[in-house]
Amino acid sequence: MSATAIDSIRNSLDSLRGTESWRYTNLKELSAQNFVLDTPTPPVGHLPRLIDKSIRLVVVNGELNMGLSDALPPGISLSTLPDDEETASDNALAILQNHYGQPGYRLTINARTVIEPIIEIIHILSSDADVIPMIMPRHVINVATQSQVNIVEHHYGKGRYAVNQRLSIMVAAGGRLGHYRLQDESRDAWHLSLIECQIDRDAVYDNFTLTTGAILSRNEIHMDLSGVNAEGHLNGVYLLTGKQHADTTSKIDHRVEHGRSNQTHKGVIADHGKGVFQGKIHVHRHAQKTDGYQLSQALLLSEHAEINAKPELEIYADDVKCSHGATVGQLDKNALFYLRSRGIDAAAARALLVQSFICGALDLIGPETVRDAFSQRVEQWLLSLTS
Amino acid sequence: MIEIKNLHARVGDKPILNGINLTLAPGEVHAIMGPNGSGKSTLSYVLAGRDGYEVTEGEVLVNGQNILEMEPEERAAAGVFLAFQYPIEIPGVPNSVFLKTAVNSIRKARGLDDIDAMSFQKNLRQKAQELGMNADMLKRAVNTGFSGGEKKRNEILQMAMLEPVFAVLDETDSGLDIDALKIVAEGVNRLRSAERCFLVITHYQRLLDYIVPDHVHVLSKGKIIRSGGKELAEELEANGYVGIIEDAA
Repeated sequence: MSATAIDSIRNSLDSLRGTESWRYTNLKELSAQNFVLDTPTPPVGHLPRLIDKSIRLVVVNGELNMGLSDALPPGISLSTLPDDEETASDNALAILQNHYGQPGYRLTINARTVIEPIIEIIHILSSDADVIPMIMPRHVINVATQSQVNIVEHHYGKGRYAVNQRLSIMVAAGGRLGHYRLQDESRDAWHLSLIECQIDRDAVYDNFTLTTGAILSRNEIHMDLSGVNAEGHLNGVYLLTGKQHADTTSKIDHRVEHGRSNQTHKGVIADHGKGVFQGKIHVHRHAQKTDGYQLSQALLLSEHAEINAKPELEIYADDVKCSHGATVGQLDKNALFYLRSRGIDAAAARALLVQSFICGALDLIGPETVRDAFSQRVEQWLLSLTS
Repeated sequence: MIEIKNLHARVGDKPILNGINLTLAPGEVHAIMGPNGSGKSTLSYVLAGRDGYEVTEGEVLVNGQNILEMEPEERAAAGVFLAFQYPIEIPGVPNSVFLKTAVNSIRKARGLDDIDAMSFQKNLRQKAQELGMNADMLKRAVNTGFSGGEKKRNEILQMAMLEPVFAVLDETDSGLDIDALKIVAEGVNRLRSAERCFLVITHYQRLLDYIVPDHVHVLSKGKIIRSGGKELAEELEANGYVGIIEDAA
């Protein structure tokens, strides 16, 4: 890859600075890195499994690895995207991906198919060189009419690397996609994720993202409720320590009537961590009877912790129900004293109260096996906080 | 043996406790009565170690050990328990998990291994049943959505599980109807034993009909102005605090 390409990527990253959508998240540190685009595939060690009896698909440095993946049940097809498939976008990261990225997977659930086992997509990234690989894959998930599937994405890795992933999702009429993401990247990594999803008539998209990894991450979702009676949930929990920065940016378009959207995001921010929540709900003129709900809550565990929350409602229909709220708080001193007076030491008491704060969000994960796996990851994080 | 010696405490610049002296022999129940603002709740918080209360003089010895320099959790491990006037709701933490964490924390502080999960559950269920609490209340989040009576019963359940040597009950009767009051009082009476003392803080005499004290003390302006037997509570109920406070002045 030529030096011109790297320069051009740097320019693109730098040009985001100061724009409204990137007001609280700055990529200048990433832009200054000595990164490369072509990367050798790292050796893959033991493959983790988050969910019992799941079907695992393995993506190594952005590339689907069929050899490491489990066999698929009937009704699902999986392929590598064609090299030249480009999709229009006005999103800067998507444009970058289009120009310099690599084709990822296309996963299709055939019409009228209910997939029982959970599909677990494992994204492994790693680098041990001086240079920083920048991986820019695009993936596609299509859920055809009246089909149902639950997909878990597990992102993890080792060392310093950057990923700029773009995922396009279509849920066709009457379909249902449960999409549960654990972003557990290396603490030295950059994780930029853009999900563009289109939800058709009577279809449901249920998204939950648990963010624990990366030094800087952006979880950006554009959800288009394009069919009547479409429903979408974008929920999440982010847990930040050290100098971690996590940005959740959502844009929901209610284009037609009877759409429902829910967003609950809870963040726990320790040390010098910084959280960003930007949520925009756009209710178009014909989207009557829209029901939109948005809540962002942050718990700050240190005086240096920071949260920037920017909820936005833009409503052009006159018969809608929309609400949003944002709260910032610290641990309740009375509750802390109550727990300690029962013999529980200060660190364990804080951990219990943090758990208490996020449980309402974790409960929004529908499939029990996924909820349990994500809750376990949260418990691990809490232990690392107290030790 | 519990000895409170010349205890002075203030909140900010304001002195609230002005030299309290009290000795509780093993097995005794002492009641502290007093009007609003006399320092009753401050005394309970100072004993349990809540932030924001500054002890300026005196000591509190639990079996010879001064607890005033200890953190709240260390006091719990030393055997101090405060039943809160307003128990705190903790959403998302099941009652049984909370209780087990508390029991094991105290065991750890005393150098003991974690309690066996089976015997813990059995013991917990039995004690809950004695307090008229069903299994569902053990699974629900701590005090979350509990009625006033349920919260107070939950305090007594915690006390029963933690087996303190010095239990302080802060207005445990407030907000309880007579049936709930009887259940709570029976719960306390079951825990009366030769190794345990109780300090029952109350505004009203009613609770003392059910938890019969060995000694009654009247607190006013942060000092004990009169002590007596259980008949003192009846006298207060009949004549109010005014007469006694004026006598002391």
